[in-house]
Amino acid sequence: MKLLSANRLTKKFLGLVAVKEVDLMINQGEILGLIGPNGAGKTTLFNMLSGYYRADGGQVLFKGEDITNLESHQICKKGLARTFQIVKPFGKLSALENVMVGAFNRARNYPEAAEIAAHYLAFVGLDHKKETQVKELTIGDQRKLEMARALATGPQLLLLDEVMAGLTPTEVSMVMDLVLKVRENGVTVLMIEHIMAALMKLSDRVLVLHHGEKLAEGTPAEIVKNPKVAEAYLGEVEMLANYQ
Amino acid sequence: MARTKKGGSVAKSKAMLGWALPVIIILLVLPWFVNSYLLNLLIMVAYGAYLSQCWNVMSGYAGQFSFGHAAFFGLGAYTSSLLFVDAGFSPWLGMIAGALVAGLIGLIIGYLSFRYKLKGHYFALATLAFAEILRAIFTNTPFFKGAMGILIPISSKSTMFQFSKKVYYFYVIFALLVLLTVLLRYISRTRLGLYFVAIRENEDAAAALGVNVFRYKLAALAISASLTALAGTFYAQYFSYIDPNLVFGSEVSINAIIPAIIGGVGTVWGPILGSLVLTPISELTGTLLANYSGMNLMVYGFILIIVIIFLPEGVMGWIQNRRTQYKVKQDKSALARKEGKIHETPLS
Repeated sequence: MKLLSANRLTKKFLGLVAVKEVDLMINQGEILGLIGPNGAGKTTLFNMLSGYYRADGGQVLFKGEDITNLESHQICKKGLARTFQIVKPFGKLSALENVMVGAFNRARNYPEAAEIAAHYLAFVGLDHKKETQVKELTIGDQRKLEMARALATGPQLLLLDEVMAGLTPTEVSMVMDLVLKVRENGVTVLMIEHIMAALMKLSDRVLVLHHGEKLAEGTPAEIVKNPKVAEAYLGEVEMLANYQ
Repeated sequence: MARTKKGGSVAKSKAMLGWALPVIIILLVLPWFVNSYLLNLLIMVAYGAYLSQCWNVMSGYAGQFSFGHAAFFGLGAYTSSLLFVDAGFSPWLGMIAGALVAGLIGLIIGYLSFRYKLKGHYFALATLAFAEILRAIFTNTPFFKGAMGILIPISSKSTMFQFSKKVYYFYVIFALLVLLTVLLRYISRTRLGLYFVAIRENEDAAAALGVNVFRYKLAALAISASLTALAGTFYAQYFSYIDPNLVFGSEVSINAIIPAIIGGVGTVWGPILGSLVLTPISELTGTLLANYSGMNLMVYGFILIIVIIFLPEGVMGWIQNRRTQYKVKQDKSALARKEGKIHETPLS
């Protein structure tokens, strides 16, 4: 079943076309990977889907409903949550309070929000850091916290923007398990990731962006064999091949 | 877990009440036994704390730095005074009318500023500009009595917000301060308070988590503006005279900012501590150096610089840092003891 589809989505910055007429479709329960060289327009695409940027053309349908150019908070209310490539923690709040901000998206009162927040902190494995001010957390923990916060809003679709960037190999495998656990809990995932090993292993399908346009789409196995993708990743071909 | 946390905070607020209650009782009785100079000082401390606490709601908690709180202060002072002098309405009613007017104008200012995404310094400048615009309007409009200002007729009737004894003015402003502080403490533990802080810490992240940033910023501004207007009415009734420079001047805005900054921005007790420290210094330098015009402001400024150098996060920030340091030290020594034991075993 289609959960989200974007049709001919376009974004221009002063004449530079960052994303050009990209079509995108995500099925319920799927993990869709989004890759592309630096500057390919991945984050721009994310920003349009989550209402952070206004699209210059095209349409986004979520659960059959047109959500193109709604405000971020409205899109969140509809069940689409995101994390940021550069973490944006509420520095002076505790970890629990950070997640509570997300939990209030659906909680009716303070105790209920605290309960939901505690649940998702435990979910990402941060229950022992509840009272810690988040600016004191490591980058790995901050990324997990971002996930907990987004999950606490109660999304059906979660957009993960490079949640594994800057993590140690141990932390990467922990976050990989976490992404699978998120899917098991019925949340569909769209993720941007530079760590190919992780992405290829997790994704059901992969979409490749290059110069703002869709270059290829298919299963991880199809993508790594695609000569166009290899060309776009000039010099990284061997790296891709390693995960065949 | 949620239950234990709740229990903890209840116990904490009971402990808080434990020391707050005696302090409040002392402050209620004390004014009867001090001379007029000290009584005036007490009033000014409470008044400074209240004004700064109003600013703290919007600029400290919600992080929207205002440099123009004089706008709301002046609107409060003028609304109640004009209603009193021209229409004979009691300033008690005028006070509420002033709060409504200031809240409404606050919403308009906020709508215009936030609609066009003014942030940080630019928002601060916009608020300053709005206060200056209002000052110009009130100075040049005969209906508002222009630069002449308004002299409040003295009647000494409590129904007209005038008292034969100064001590009652203290009770009024002290009650306002206590109520506002209790309210702020309450808000800081609700969705509203949490959203305010989230917006201050990171607007984009808050929006992505479903917070209607625009609406909550407007709420912070409207609440803060209405409360500030009450201080304006109090000022008019206590000093019995207002003019555009006195109530719309940037000095008012600065007086609203500084105690919070010195005491600790975005904390419940910051503005109160700030006013406790600053108001006596300001009054004292004013009296001691009365013969040297301008000297008191120089000394006051010098003290401010010193405080900011040594307490960059305000008094509350300093207290909190000391607490964390103490905790870290304790944790470390506990750890050291533990490790010491581990090292001891192979030796013995």
